[in-house]
Amino acid sequence: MGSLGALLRYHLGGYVHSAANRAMASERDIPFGTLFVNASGSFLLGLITGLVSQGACPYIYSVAIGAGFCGSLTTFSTLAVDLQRLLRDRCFLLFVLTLLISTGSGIGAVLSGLALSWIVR
Amino acid sequence: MSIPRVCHPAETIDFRERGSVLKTRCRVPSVWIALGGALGALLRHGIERLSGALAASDAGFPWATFGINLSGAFVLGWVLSRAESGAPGGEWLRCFAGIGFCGAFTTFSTMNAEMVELAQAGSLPLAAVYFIASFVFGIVASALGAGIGMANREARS
Repeated sequence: MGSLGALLRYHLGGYVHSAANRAMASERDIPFGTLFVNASGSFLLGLITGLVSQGACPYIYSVAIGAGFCGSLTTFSTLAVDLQRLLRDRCFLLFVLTLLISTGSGIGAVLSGLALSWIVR
Repeated sequence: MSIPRVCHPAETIDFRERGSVLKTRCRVPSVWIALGGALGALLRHGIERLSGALAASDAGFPWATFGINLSGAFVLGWVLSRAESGAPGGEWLRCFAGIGFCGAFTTFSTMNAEMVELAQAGSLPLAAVYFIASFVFGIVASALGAGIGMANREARS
């Protein structure tokens, strides 16, 4: 599952990245691809964790899908390097925006995943 | 919608180093990303299991994920600065070790779930410390890795 997550992160993330930055026409890229895969992986992890903790799914789901797939789909290292480069190039506004959007969407996604697990179980 | 120029990239920076890590496509087969991703995920899961067996309680500071994310950011900083200097095998290193291994080894979803868990357990300050420490030290680790890669590059040339 780890390899699937990594492949999807690269292909889907790369696609979203180029599409979004074309649409924004920004002079400096914003890591939209990473933001997108991070938020979707966090949502799925919240959903799976919620379903497993309510006993609606066997525990193996949380290992295979939660740790394996979601863990690989989302990434911290790429985000850290992107943020470091934004700081190095003195892109302070984009730095703060990226940090806020990624954490806001990540935590929001986990919470909505958990909420959905209570609805669908 | 367009974003005004809000930053001033240093003139000395190589064009390839600008923008997001995912921007440059890999010139090696995707199977290397898959292989690196599988290794990274398995190693992460092994470390999490081991630390879960050692930890006294569930609601403490998530040291395992914290350490995994920092070390992955350090290695990725090093890998990318080496790959972008055109070192031999750099493209393979970037896609296998960087995008595949480091990307899958480090995780953002687990980190967020742990923050939510800490907050739900009533330790909101600990969740805030976890968030701030992860990003501050993650960025420092990435800069350290990039600095070491850069120093090696200058030593070679």
